[in-house]
Amino acid sequence: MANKIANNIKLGVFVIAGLLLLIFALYMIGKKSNMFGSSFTLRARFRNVDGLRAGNNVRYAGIETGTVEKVLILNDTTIEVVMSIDEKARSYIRKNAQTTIGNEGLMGNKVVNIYPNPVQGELVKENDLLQTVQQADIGNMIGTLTRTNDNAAIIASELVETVKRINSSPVLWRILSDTTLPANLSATMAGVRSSAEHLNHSVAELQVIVNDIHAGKGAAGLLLEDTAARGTASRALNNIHNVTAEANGLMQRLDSIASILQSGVGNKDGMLYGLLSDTSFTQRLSRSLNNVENGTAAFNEDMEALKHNFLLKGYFKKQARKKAQ
Amino acid sequence: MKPNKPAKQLQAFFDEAGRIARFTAWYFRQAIRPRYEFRELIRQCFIIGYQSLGLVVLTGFIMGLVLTMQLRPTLVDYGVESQIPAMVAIAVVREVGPVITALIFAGKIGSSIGAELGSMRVTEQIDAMEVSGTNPYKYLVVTRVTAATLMLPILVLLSDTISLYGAYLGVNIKTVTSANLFIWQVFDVLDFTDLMPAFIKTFFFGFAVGMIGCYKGYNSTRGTEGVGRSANSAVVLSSVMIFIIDLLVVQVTDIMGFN
Amino acid sequence: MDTRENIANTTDAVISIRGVYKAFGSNKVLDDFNMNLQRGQSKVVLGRSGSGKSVLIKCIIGLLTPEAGTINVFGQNVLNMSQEQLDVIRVKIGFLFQSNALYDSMTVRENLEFPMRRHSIKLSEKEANERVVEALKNVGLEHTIDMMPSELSGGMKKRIALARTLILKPDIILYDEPTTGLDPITGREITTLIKEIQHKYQTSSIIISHDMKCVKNTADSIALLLNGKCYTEGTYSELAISDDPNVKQFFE
Repeated sequence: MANKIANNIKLGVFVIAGLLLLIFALYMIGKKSNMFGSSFTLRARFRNVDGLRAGNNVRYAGIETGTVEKVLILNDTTIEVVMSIDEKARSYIRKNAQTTIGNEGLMGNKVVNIYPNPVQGELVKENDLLQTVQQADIGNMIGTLTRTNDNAAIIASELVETVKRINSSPVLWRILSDTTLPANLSATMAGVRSSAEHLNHSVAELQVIVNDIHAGKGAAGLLLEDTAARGTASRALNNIHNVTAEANGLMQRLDSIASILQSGVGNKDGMLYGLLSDTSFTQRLSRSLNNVENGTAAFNEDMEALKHNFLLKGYFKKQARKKAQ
Repeated sequence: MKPNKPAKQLQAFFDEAGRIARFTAWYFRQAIRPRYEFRELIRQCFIIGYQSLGLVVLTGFIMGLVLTMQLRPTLVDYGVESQIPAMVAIAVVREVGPVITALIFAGKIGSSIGAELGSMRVTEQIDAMEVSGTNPYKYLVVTRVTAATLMLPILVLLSDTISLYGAYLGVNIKTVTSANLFIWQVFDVLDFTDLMPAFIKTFFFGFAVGMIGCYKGYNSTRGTEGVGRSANSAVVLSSVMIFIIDLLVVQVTDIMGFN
Repeated sequence: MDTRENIANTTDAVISIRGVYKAFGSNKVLDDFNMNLQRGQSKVVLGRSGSGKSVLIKCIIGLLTPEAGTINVFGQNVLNMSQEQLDVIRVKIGFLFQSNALYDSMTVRENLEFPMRRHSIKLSEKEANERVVEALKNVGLEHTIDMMPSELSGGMKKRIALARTLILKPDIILYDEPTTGLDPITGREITTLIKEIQHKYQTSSIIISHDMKCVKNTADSIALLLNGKCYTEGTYSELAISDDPNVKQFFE
């Protein structure tokens, strides 16, 4: 009898172990297809889904967030993909997010990729239709390549034509075979070299003047002492004048840039707006501002502490009295 | 005489098929009516299920390990070594696990049922049961067939698990994969359409093995020699049946779109 | 209960077989067979091997169904009975199988308990145990109670099988070649046991046998089965002096 009970227990353990394995397997598979967590539906329309089918994964910025529920043919050029997305992803996906169909690995299954748009948008709602970007598919690529090829062929034939014409042109050949041309060229090069030497000399002179100023000799003394330097100085003054004018121009340009920037921030389509409204960037900025604020506060505190330091008390009191007068 | 022989064989074949069909129909008629031999059913579940566990676990483990080691060179050639867990999981869960386990089961359980009932038949134990107020069909056949039908799926689940464990060790002979990653890779590739048809067909395998074993044993004749023949033909016929059922299930699931 | 009343109402024949016909394919085993078994009588059916003696008693208990004829047990035709009625009758008829038919997978105790359990006889654990022990005492094998049949010798198996037949305290016992396959000494012991049981429980019995020593010791009356018919009937001493060659061949 005891043996019988022991056998029954063994049988029970055996059966329960089997059932638990079954439940585990079903759970693991079910979890993968979002069967147990709460989820919501998003849709996207494509011209071509490249063999995507129900059960394929959906990724948001590369993270698995759901599965394809249905692939429907709406009309001859529109395929609608209905996706079941994990509820947890709801607070990240925005209405202007872009979807494409891609591959999982080189030979893997098809997958729907959802990419966040750099421009801030509203959060998605149940059953929203996401924007799609048609991925370059091999058919299109081959089409483009064919066109490129055709163009290349045309260019090549025209090139051949050109070379033929060059070959048959006596004027061009005369230029190419003219011996005076290289001589002229070398003369020009010599001129350039001497100009460069002049320039070097001027720079050295300027260096001397600057050094004198550093040594404390007054510009007026210099002018009296050395008449040769007078010309140089007036040239320098002229230069300074020019620089000032240039700086003015620069300031004006900066002004106009600032106004463009301002209008850029106002314009929602602009890149700048995107940069500023990028939540993570904004957060970073406000964090930095906070840090600065914190730093200032800390400095104020230090000052306060210093005021109460008995060594410096006298000094601060004196200051206070001065203020009172 | 000679031209008559194939015709006779054909006749014998259809005769046998008809008898098996009637024997099977009888099962359903008897199984739904009281009285239910519940205690004997439990006992048979223990004998048929639990006592086959060791054998099934051993073969399952070796199967998973060997499959992994055999697949590796080809997959390495293709540069998809990381797909070994996925390949083995699909192979084991969909086909190799159920079929190999069912064949082992047919060898062990089919023959033992055939021999047991056969010897009970020739030593008049079946008659003795009937005289003792027991419906021997219910007591012997219904319990064994039901037990085989219910226990084989559980054995297959355990065997699949052990096979995958074997595969895990096989993967770790040459490379290092964490158990976590292995499990993830296995379940990533599996789907309900892989697991459910494979799981459901094991019920049919178990039923076929139990039914054929019982039929051969129950209708055993001609003394001890007949017992041996019953056991033998039970194993042969149920092994063939397993493949036929496997083929049918593949066709049906294909038609239904679970591919 | 009504079967008991029926017995009182009818004649003393507990079993009456009329015009039974049974064939396996073209082989006619029983062909218009007639026989009566009186209350308390011990009748031996004598016949050659394969002459259909076993078939006869299997028809009586409903294991085989004859194509024609009636078999009345306690005045009721076995051949028209539902499964439930048949089970009621079977409690009253013990059957000792030629090959003992002990259940290989059960101990001696479980073998003996099996008919009691299966016939849904309400007995307490203690009463059931007492019955098992009593039945084993009758055959002198109390010590084998927890052994498996495979551990027993041929003679012991036969006695355990007899104990199992006795456990329901049947009114009629059908013996299918009780001494076949046993050595002469064991055969004699079994014969003695059969006689003891007949006296102790006042059972009526049909004994299938071609062991003449057994037949001589146990038979009140002998029926000779020949070509599917009851060729002749009589006591041992009557038939032993018969000049009919068909009868004589058994007594030489």
